[in-house]
Amino acid sequence: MSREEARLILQSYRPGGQDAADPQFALALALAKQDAELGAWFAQQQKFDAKITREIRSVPASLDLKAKILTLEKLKKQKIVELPAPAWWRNLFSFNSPVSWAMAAAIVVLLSLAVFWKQPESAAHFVDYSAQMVSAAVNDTNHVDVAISDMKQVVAWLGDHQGENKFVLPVALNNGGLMGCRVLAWHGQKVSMLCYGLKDSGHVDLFVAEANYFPDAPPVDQPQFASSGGMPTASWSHDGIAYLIVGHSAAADLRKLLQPQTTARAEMRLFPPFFCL
Amino acid sequence: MDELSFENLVNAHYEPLYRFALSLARSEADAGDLVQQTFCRWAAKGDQLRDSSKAKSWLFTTLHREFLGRRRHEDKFPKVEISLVEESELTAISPSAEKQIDGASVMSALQRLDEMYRAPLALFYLDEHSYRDIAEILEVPVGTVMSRISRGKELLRQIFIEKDSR
Repeated sequence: MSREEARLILQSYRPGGQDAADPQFALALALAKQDAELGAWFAQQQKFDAKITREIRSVPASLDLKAKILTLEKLKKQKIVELPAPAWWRNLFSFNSPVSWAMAAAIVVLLSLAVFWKQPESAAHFVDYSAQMVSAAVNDTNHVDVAISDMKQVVAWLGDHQGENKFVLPVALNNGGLMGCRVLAWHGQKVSMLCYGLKDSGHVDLFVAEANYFPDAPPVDQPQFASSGGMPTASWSHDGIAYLIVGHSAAADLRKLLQPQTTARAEMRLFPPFFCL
Repeated sequence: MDELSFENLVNAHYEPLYRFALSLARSEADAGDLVQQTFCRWAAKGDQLRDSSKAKSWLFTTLHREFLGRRRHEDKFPKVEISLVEESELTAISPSAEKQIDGASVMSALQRLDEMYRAPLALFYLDEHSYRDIAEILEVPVGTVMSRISRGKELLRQIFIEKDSR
């Protein structure tokens, strides 16, 4: 082995000595011991390599990103899989049956008539709205329009996209965890959605819309806990805005999220404790 | 893979993976995207890996492939031409220049190198992988890795020497 060959091989020898047992290096290492010039060069190389290794390992890695990666995985685990249609519904329609086709045609006609005659306001029941928003909450593709974690930016983005952005949030939703937002349309009205990945409560989605659109808007400042499509929900109104939270974890987590916060001032112990944007 | 083992995997490999990404990418944001995408791919496909001891190599290989894939859709990185002088012509780094070397300057110097040298050299200095592991990660022959590490080191030294001489 020539000195140049030994140099080439020894350049890949890590300064920590982890490669000492690798036979590939044995001959080159032996030569470096015998050849003073090669030995000096190798010692200088090892010193330089040790320095670079120390420095490169001192470069800080973003802790925020690490937390985000871990949170995203947890959210993925909590993903709600849409259930298939109930068996009775699947069995109702048979492509081979003329009766089925006649029924389908009749349903289409009836639905068309119903849509034609129905007043739009009468369809805007909060329970229907909740069901629709739950469906949006479990939508994995296009779950949010934009991934922003800064509330000010979210408010600005919602404003730019004609979404409701004059809202007042529970304290628990103003302590970080914001992951993105989206603007949806329901019966011609814009609905803002804020997506959170919370440390204790997991994935929750908050929907915000004007309360006066609903004849049965939820009570003012009194969260109503319910379930829609197998998902726990909580809804309330405040200052003309209807709020709906859809939880992706257990109902108890949602209740815990909206528990009254203890504050220094007794008069602040109203439920839910809000802050104004 | 359950949540706990995913968390273990992230805890074990996040930092070196991030540093490798940072040495390859142009910015922290790009590095973050690469790391996040790599772990997302693991979450989606990692359980297909039969040999769990290969997880580390899998992560680094995936990140490198992701980087190469993105590069194909981007403009070529602006590289600083570094003349390939003979090793014998190179002077040693002065003690004052060596003192100035820190984590940021190492990353900056690595980012100036052509990707051909940057990836093997970054992996070598992360001290997590042998040259054989690096060959596996980068999917190139062992001899190629050795020559690229050797040439990459000389170029890296040259960058520090040039910086010191300004």
